[in-house]
Amino acid sequence: MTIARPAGVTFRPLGRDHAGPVADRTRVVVEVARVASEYRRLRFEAWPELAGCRPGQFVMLRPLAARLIRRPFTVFDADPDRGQAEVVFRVTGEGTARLAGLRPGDRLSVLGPLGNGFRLDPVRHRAVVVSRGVGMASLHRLARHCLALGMPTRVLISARRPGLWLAADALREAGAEVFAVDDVSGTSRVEIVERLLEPAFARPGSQCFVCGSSRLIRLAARLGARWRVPVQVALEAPMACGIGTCHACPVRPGPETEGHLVCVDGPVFAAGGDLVA
Amino acid sequence: MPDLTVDLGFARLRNPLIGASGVFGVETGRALDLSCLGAVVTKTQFVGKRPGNPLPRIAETPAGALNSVGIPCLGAEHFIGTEWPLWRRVGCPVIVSVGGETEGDYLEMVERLEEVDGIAALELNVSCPNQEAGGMELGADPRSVERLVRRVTGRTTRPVIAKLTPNVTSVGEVARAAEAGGAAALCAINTVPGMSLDVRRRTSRLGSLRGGLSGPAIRPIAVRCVWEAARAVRLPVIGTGGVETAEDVLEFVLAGATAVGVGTAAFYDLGAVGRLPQQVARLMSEIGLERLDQLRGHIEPPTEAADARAR
Repeated sequence: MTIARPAGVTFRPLGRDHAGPVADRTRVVVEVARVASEYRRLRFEAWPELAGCRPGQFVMLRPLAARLIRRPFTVFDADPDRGQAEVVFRVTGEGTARLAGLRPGDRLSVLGPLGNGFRLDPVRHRAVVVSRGVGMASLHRLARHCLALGMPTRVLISARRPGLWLAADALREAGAEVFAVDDVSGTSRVEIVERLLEPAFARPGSQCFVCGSSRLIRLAARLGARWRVPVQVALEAPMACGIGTCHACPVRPGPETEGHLVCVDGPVFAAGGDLVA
Repeated sequence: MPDLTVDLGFARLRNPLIGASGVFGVETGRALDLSCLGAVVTKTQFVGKRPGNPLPRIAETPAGALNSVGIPCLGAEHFIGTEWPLWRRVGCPVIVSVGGETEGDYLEMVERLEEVDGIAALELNVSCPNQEAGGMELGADPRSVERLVRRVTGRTTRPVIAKLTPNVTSVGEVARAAEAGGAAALCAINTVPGMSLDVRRRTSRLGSLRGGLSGPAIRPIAVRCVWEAARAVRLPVIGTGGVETAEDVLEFVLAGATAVGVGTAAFYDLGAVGRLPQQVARLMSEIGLERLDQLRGHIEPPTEAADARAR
């Protein structure tokens, strides 16, 4: 998920996946590991509805021992057979630091599954997946899902430096066409990324999924408008409840009314807008 | 099995727990069966549409949450036509929290709510610290509180609960003013004004700079305010502020509360909120209580023996 809200891009809800029960449960941590140098992967015991949730749906987590407001994370990976789920995050504050400090066997307070996942258009058979930094945490399951369906999948992974390419090798091994770019070499510049992505947008039957910086969201929305390719974006916002009550997470608070909330109207939205093609 | 029911005068609740305003919505029902509560209070409703405050709106602080959401609202028509029918199905009495930017707003809203069936009571939000125009100033002035409560009770057939702010020199004085105005009950306390700054970014952690503090951090303030309010009036008092456990619930009752609100805890442990009624019953058995009024307001003077045990 990303907190970026680029100007000129509109975010339209895709509709509610379900308004079914959400469970608030205590679960055991299976593993906490460092991945792609500065990210953490937290694997925990899930339950069937959570391990089987849609790509793009999220959970709210806190260590049971800490009296913290839960933090939202898209499910990075889920294994219904083993009844486990994983999230990947960067330590950015006390909440994520406490989660990173958990050990196998520690208990976790888990609320989920929450929000609305990505919607695959069954008629469009190619996927373009665009991520920046930890944004891949919200796109990884979707990319795997596309690959499992046999869809040709182009994945753009942008990061500050090469070591931070989350899931690049795994997705390449799974059959994706992966382009990894970074700020150090300068390959993450918008003009270069545009040249890498545009041929994929130009192919008939493409659909795009993005999570990342304002620049990448705007670029994806612009290419989507130019080539009439639907673009879905996973948004992020700090939130306290995850179910539409606390109103910490409006997409863009309006001057007169609140507008959409990331938690219940998203976190996946259709990105559009009156963009100069 | 101890008797958990409480009598607020205008309503008998199956247990003393009330879901506090701003924390529970009909959507909370997806994760917690609200019929486990004695009652629930809606978010504050205004007659007109209101935007919310700038982001960020919630910040975590030691043992608390600081919020400045600004009470975004879609107005009376949306509440009555769209939201209220959903509230009627939550399975416990529903109290509607009413706000206003002017006295006229409050009166118009309570009149609009007269056309609605099934509202257990109205709670007047006179103390929300986010409202630059009304809130804090009104709730901090006993004469304004008395006047508003009197005018509101004159326009509604429903019991009126006055929700008090902690940000006054004398809670008792404001409590007496609300009683004189005709309130059926009091609720104490609303959030405590606060601020939290990030020195590295040199910014406030809230978009509107200041916010209201809630959670366990404010519980001692709330317990003191409830004690002062309960001594000052004959009205039932709903004690609210940082309740997490059964012991916290009974602490408010001992301070003089008839019912007890639970709020911020629902953001971090909804499951625990659902278990609270049973845990209150268990704790009552443990300390030998059959009914809550056996405890209410009966604070014993500290003794040396008790003092030693507490260490």
